[in-house]
Order: sequence, then structure tokens, then C-alpha cells
Amino acid sequence: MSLLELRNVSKVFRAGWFKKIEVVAVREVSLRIQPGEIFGLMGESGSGKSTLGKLALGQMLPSSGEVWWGVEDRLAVQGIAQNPYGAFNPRHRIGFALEEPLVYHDLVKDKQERRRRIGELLNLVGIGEECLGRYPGQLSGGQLQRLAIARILLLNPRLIVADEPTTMLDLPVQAQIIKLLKTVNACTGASILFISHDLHLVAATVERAGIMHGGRLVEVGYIQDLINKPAHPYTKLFVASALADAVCRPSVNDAFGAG
Amino acid sequence: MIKMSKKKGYIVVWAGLGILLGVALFAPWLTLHDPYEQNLANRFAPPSAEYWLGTDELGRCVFSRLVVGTRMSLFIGAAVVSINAVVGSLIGLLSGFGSRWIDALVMGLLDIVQAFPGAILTLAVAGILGPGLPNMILALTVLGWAGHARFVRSMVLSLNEREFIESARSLGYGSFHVLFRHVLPNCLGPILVFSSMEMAGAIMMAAGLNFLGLGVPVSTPEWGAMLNQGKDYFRTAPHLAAFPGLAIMIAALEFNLLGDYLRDRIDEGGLIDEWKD
Repeated sequence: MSLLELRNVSKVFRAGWFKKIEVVAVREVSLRIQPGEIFGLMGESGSGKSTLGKLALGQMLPSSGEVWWGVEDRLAVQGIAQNPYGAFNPRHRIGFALEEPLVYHDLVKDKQERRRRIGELLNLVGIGEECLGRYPGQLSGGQLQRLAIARILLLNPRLIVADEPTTMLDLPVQAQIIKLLKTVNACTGASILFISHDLHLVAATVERAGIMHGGRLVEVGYIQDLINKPAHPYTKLFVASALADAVCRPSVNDAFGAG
Repeated sequence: MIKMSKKKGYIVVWAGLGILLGVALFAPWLTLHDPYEQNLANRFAPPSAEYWLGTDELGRCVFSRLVVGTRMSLFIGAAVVSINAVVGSLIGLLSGFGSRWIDALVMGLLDIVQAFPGAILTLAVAGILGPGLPNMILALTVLGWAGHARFVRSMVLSLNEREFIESARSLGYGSFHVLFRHVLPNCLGPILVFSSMEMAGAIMMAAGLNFLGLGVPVSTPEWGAMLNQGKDYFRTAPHLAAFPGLAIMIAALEFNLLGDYLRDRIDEGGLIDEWKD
């Protein structure tokens, strides 16, 4: 049984009172993500990846089609923000931001339990407890992204939608976040929908991936098959341009061990 | 050209505010004479050691009336701005955070309200209601909330797009919690800046209504009312209009500077969103 299933999902944005303007962001996409799987979603900017991510998160309703989650509690579907600097309320200390979901959803009995749970997750994401008293503006992008991951883990998610979680981070930190996502997947068994425009990053992270173009999911398959035996013309173009880019950026392959 | 360092500028702002509030709070102990006591034998006396700012057409001490009037002027300004800020902010929050239809409805209302020339409508309302302190405050708030509402709405719309608000929703927090725990605290700083600048406008507008005789009773010491009475004797006793006018100007300048100061502090301290991006 799949954890997330999209059945012929389309999303159309409409604007204008008299003259209607329509933009079809996602066209008839069908996709299944299995429990414990890390699935990659690639495509150029404007291809509909992020919209699909929001549909998968339930932040948006589809214009047609159906989104089905294999979880009973919607809190089990969580997202990681693209911009770690904006993921936390700048007026709240990190400690408050981490305690807030536990208190709001009444997930733990007392303060000690709360502290213990937060301590465990900080340990998992590799951040010291001294950051709890700091404001988001006093931490680096990598630290904030780790803390954002820790915060969603407090809710025991079964599906994590990571929409370009490393875009705003430098290369070594990107590698650390990818490693952390794999650790989270291994330790908690949560499925991850990993959205990125970077083929190398996706290749280093997932086993199975899909490529989006013009709102359509043009090809889905194992990542090595997509790279070595692309079937769709757009996949061939996407892979060729990514590989050509890698010639100019050999450090990418060194950092992620992919290519 | 005189250049003042930022730090010295801040000291001037806080010192000015402290003096204004101090005068308003301790007014009864700072007067030289009873501000209501008439002395017809000593009308239009120029500034002297006994009457620091002279006397008015009824022989009352201008300095004492100006000191006592500080309390009334600041009270009117604070009352008007507080009402405008609370009403306007709530409507702005509702409009920015509510559904599309609520937003369209509120925006339509704002467009209608703000289509009227503000000063003329305030005068008309004050004229219909008649003189008196509550009526004057009501007249000044008929339109004043609209500016706050539009300002807060624009802030909320901008915050709605921010990732920490999306994260808060994604973490399962209810609308009420997101609005009052995440959106409102990020609006408070700018609302304070906006209000302090509005305070200057409210004091000036209240002075204007008093000047036209649409505010507090003539005998009440208030800067605008004093200016109104002083204008008739501007040729023979210019101090009667000059000192209240100067007080209004200083208070307006002070609150504008306070607004600038708070805006600078918020930008520097990263209370809004300038903290990392």
C-alpha cells in the first residue's frame, strides 16, 4: 500500500474578474510513493514541482484529480521549507519554536518529557542545546535547516516533502543536509518526497525519481535508468544539460559522490 | 550644516519624549499660577519673570495654561491614535488573514471611506456632533482607522507569504494561533512606528478643530484652543499664538522623530524581516 498517491491531479491557477487568465501548473499527474521511500522530483524552474509538493502536503487543493495519503493523521505529512532563514518566526527563540508543536498538540505530559524529546532530536540532527536560547537570526542556514528538520520530526511524520531544502546553502552544508535526510529516513522510516532541479543532488539522495516538464510528469523510474537510459526527449535534454554542467563543476560530484 | 550622530539623535528623541510626558504627568506641580485664575488688571502682559510666557486676554498665565494643556493635547492624541490603531489593526488583520470575500468587502469599505477628503469629512462630522471632547475624538477617529487598517492588511498579506507562516500552518496550528502568535507579533513594531507618526497628525488635527472652536470648551487649557484665542490678538500680543503654536510644532516633531527612531531600531534589530535575507 502506498503512502502518497496522486491520481490524475491537475492544478489550475485562475485570475481576473472579467477576463479569466488561467495558468495550468500541474497537468494530470499520477504518482505513488511507497512507505520508507525517498522519491526525487526534478525539473526546471516553473515546471510545477513546488506546486506538486504543496498538493502532496495538502497546502493546496487540486483543481481536478485526487490526492490520497496513507496516514490517518494529517500531521504525519510535513514539509521542509526551501529557505531555512525564513522557516522560523524571527521573534521566537529556537527553544520556543521547538516546544510549540509539542505544547499545541499536547504531545507530551510535562516539561521534562518535552526537554528530553527535544534533546533527542537535537542529538539526531547534530545541533547542541545551546542554540535553544538563540533567535533564528543568530544561527547559520545549515543550523536552521537542521532545526527545521528536528521540528517536523517532533510530530513523527510518515511523509516529508522537502522542496529544494538545500538551494540556499553552500555545497558542504548541502552534503550535510542530504546525509541528515538519509539518516532521518533510515532512523524513522519516514518517506521523503525530495524536490530539486539539481540532478546530481537527486542522484545522490534517491533511488527512484520523476521528471516534470510543463506541469506534466514526463518520466518516472530508477535514477540510474533516468540518467543512463532516458526515454522521454525532455529527460534526455535535462540529463545532457546536467551532465554538461557537471563538467564545469567537478566539485559537485566530489561533494555528493554522484555522477 | 549641523551634523548629529545617530546616538545623540536618539538621546534627543528620548529626552524630548521624557520632557513631554513629564510635563503632562506633573503639570499641576509645574505651573506658576492657577491656569484658570483671571486677572483683568494684567491682560496681555508680555513675558516677564512673574509670567514667563506673559498673560492672555483675561490675564491668565500663558505658561501655566500651556503646561496644563500638554496633558489635554497628549491625551487627545493618544486616545485618537489608540482607537485608530486598535480598530484599524483588527480590521486589517481580519482583511489580510480572512477569506478572499472578507478582504474584498473590507477593501471596498476602505476605498469608500478613503475616497472622502479626510480633513473636510472630519470637520463635517465634528460640526454635526458639536463641540466637546468625546465628540472631537469621535470625529478624529471616523476616518483615522482606515489608514491603520490598510497598513496592517498589507503587512499581513506580506507575512502570509513568508515561510514561517506556511510552516506554522503545516505544523497544524489553527488560524487563531497563527494569527495571534505568529502574524500579530510581527506587525506590532511597524504598527508602533505608524502610530507614533499618526500621533503627530492627531495632535495637529485636534489643535485644528480646537482652533475652529469645534473641540474642547474655550476655557479649557489646550494648545489648539489657546492658538484659536490668541489669533485675534496676533498683532498686539503675538506671544498668545506663538507659544501654543511652538508647543504643537515641537510635539509633532517629537512624535515624528520617535517614529523614525522606532523604524530604525526595528530595521536594525531585525524585528521584522531584515534579519538575515
